[in-house]
Amino acid sequence: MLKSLRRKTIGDLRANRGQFLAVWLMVTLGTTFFGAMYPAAVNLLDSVFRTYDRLEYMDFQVQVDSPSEDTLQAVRAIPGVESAEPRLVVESSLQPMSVTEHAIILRLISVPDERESGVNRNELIEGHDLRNSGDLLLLESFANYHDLKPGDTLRVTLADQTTVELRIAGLVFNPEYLVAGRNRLVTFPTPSTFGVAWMPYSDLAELAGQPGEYNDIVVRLEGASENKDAERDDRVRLALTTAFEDYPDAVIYSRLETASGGVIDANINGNFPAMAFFSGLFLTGAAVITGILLARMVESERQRIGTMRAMGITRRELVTHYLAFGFIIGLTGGFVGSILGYLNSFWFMNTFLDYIVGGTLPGYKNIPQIPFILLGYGIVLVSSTIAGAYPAWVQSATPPGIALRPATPKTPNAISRTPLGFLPLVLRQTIRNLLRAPGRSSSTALGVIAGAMMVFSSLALWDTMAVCFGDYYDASAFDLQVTYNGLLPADSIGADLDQIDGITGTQPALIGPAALVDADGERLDTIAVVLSENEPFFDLTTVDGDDAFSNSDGVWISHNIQRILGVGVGDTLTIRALGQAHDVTIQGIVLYTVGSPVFVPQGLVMAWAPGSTAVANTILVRANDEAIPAVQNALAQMPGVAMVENIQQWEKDLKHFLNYFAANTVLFGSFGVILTIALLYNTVNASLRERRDELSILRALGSTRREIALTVTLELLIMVTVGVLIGVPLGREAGYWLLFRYNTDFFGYIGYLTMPSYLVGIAVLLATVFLAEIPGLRAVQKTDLGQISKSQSF
Amino acid sequence: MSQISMRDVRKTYRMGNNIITALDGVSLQIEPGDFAVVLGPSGSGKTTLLNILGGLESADGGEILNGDESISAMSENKLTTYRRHQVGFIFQFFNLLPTLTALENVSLSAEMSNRRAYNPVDMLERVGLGDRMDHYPGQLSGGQQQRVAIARALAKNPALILADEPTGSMDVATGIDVLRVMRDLNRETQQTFVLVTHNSAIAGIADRVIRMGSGKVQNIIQNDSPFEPEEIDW
Ligand SMILES: Nc1ncnc2c1ncn2[C@@H]1O[C@H](COP(=O)(O)OP(=O)(O)O)[C@@H](O)[C@H]1O
Ligand SMILES: [Mg+2]
Repeated sequence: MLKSLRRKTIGDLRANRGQFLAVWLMVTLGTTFFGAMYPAAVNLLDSVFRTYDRLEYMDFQVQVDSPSEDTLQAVRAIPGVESAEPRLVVESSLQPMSVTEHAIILRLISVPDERESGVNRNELIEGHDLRNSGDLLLLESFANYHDLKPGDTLRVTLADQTTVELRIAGLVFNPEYLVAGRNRLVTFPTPSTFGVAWMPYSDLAELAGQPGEYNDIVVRLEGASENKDAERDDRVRLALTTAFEDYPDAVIYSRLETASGGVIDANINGNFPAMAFFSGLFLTGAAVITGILLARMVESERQRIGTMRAMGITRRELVTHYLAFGFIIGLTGGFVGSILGYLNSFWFMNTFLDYIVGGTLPGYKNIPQIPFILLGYGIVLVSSTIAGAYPAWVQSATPPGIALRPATPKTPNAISRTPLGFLPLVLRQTIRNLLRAPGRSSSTALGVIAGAMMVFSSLALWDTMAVCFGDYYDASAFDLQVTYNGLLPADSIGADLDQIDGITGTQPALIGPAALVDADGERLDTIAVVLSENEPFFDLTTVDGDDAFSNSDGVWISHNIQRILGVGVGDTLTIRALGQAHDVTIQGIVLYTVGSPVFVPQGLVMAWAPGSTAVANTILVRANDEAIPAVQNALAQMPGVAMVENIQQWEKDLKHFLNYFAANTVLFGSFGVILTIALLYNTVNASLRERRDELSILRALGSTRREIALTVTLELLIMVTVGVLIGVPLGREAGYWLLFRYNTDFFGYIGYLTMPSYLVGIAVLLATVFLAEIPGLRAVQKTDLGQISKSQSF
Repeated sequence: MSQISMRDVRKTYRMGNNIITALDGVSLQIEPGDFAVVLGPSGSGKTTLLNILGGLESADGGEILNGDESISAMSENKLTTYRRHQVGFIFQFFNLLPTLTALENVSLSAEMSNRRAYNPVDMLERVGLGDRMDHYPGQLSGGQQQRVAIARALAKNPALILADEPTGSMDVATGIDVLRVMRDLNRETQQTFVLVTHNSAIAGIADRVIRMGSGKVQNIIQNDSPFEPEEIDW
């Protein structure tokens, strides 16, 4: 590079330091997010898989009563099976502790007496292993929530109403409860009402009065978690089905069909596209800003470039000169961003640990993803270098003789000379300007499109989560859910609840596992909810906004069933439950985000067996707000009650779990908005800078400030309109697409973008654009008009 | 039509530690309908003088009156209105809007004026650009651009026309044509013209010649029998 040009580079950098700082920050931010998000997702997945494999996480679970030794051997003999462990799983009730006012379900799981379990091993986090009779190991995330420590004593009541005291020997992590969801209906952790503990088999069998009995088998296949082989899984599943042919009530779950495995899988499936999308979006945003700003800068140097070319400076020398800007920005911004990105990735991983795991993840490692980080750095470096060099290359191709003259609009005559005589002067001026400066107009529009995409994809994420979960919370129009051991006549169940003070209403329900089979034979194992169609305590609304349970001619399915089975209103399903099978017609699709329940009106069930008495296993209870804890405890003491769930508590737990997504969404959203503001601000600013001379001439000719502000504002308004029309639908769909990655058999979103969000989003865009024009307009007002008539290069 | 008078107008510029005096106590008077020429070598302060008269720059001291309105006391908004309705400025370096055609540049200023403006097409034809109206400034020669700038200033039919080296980029014949147009308009409408030049030959056509040097008015000569543009010896 020529020495004088090098001096010009430095001088220009100094003169435009505000702009350069803006571009630099964008590049740095873009690289930071690129290097933080996707690598965090990769490391999380690796950490989870590492944990799974270290602790021999199960691939299949079979819930089966009293499997024979032969059956167990048959399972172990299936090709691909590494080990199969029979277990006893017992739900008990943990008596109110000092820290809580109500009973909690404690699931007790057996571990082999004398050896380590071959499947779903515990990892001791605190305390010591099982040594003495009466010891148990408690799930760490549950213990953290209730502030329980090794050495504490728990009072546990079993189904036969005997109560024992057990001592916490240690706190453990277990891969089966990485996400401590209770079952397929409640797939997220509810530590306020549900905990898990492990005991030696002999202790537990004796306690439960089931010596020598098992009710659960967990199966681990050979090979690492990251090399999942779907075909082999299918073969194993088929073999398992054969092995348990003689057990009609046996239910086989693959890893993905269990609460934790499914949620983790949904997270991974959802996180990867989301993290990759936002990584890419931020980097692209940064590249777009850099490109626009450097292109505008070179454009405004048109005459100077012409002069330099006229003086004999070669194109190469010129390109090198402008390339230096981009290169310096990319080199330094990319470097700083890469380092910040790695540091930032800890934040993403920690929100996962805090909200999803709720404690320790034994296989946790955040390894710098060097190739990926280098990729981001490389992209930034190359794109910002090109952003500087390319416009200079194009610009310097203009013969100096032409470049030294005022720029002539490049738009074809037919467009730029559209007769506009009918429009008022200001508007005519505006449209001419837009049409005749296509580079500037399109970069402004591009900026607005990119900004609208970022803002609206975040808003779509936000709204969809808010509406889907809001509706889900609202669906439970009761305060407590009481589950009984076994089935009872619906008219007598809970007759004794009247004695409890504070209860304002009750409704019996039958809630239990059911299989749905569609016309093609596709089967979904899920949960059925049988409820009175007269004022049901589930307040369900269909996706079309109608009330569910409007008749008893058929069933209402949750939207997840619709998606999974591909069925719709009017279709027929076969529903299998309690040893029966019935064909039912779908009456409506209800919005129900978590789980994939089917809602069955009581009247329909009665019609299947006329004259019989309805059965129930659940009572939905409404109570006065201040009485809820007392009612909950009283209910837990009632004979035959297996568990009592507090809906408010459960909502609180779910919200805690969702904080992970909320935190990410807020982060994406706020950085999206920052990036949008930066992008729009810089684009508008650059475009005004470029027009400074022109606007100043207008000032000199006697245009008022208002007229100038009006033209500029109109121009921007038109560009914002174009940007919004294109960017909003794109952003909205991108947001939906991202959230739909999280959809699974027991979880699913329907996309929503609400009117207030449209208004807020557009207001943010407009406000940014108009704020961005202020400094440009100020500069025009402040221009020394005397210079206009004095300097040639003005 | 009003009388323009300047009394003891000063203007200095600060360039780092140097103070440059562009106008050093300028006093002069131009009668309504005058065709005045400001003559002086490069750097003598002519453009500065014109800028101050045109409301593009403010003086550091002294008084500038247009009739009984004091330009030096005008607010920024008043100055804008003044520039818009009272003054037609012909810039030394044209300053056309590059994205507007010749005709659009002229129309723009005609539309901005609230006086009875001339037809922009007529005005362009008068300066000899009838066949270049749809060209963009970048497609015109320097002299042609200058003529568009002249048409732009004249079309809005202002009371005062300030022209900074208006023939600087033209050949003799075109220059004479342009001066002819200005002189004719001056006679037809009694508009006041202040024309700046370093070319003493042009001074011959003026009613009044203001000679400047080093920021000072050296003398003012009243010329009762000015030449016609065609008669001057360029
Ligand atoms: N904005 C400015 N800053 C500094 N010096 C200036 C500025 N404008 C004019 N000058 C100086 O003032 C003097 C008069 O300038 P100008 O009025 O342009 O002269 P003329 O038009 O007669 O050639 C010159 O010496 C010039 O360098
Ligand atoms: Mg001058």
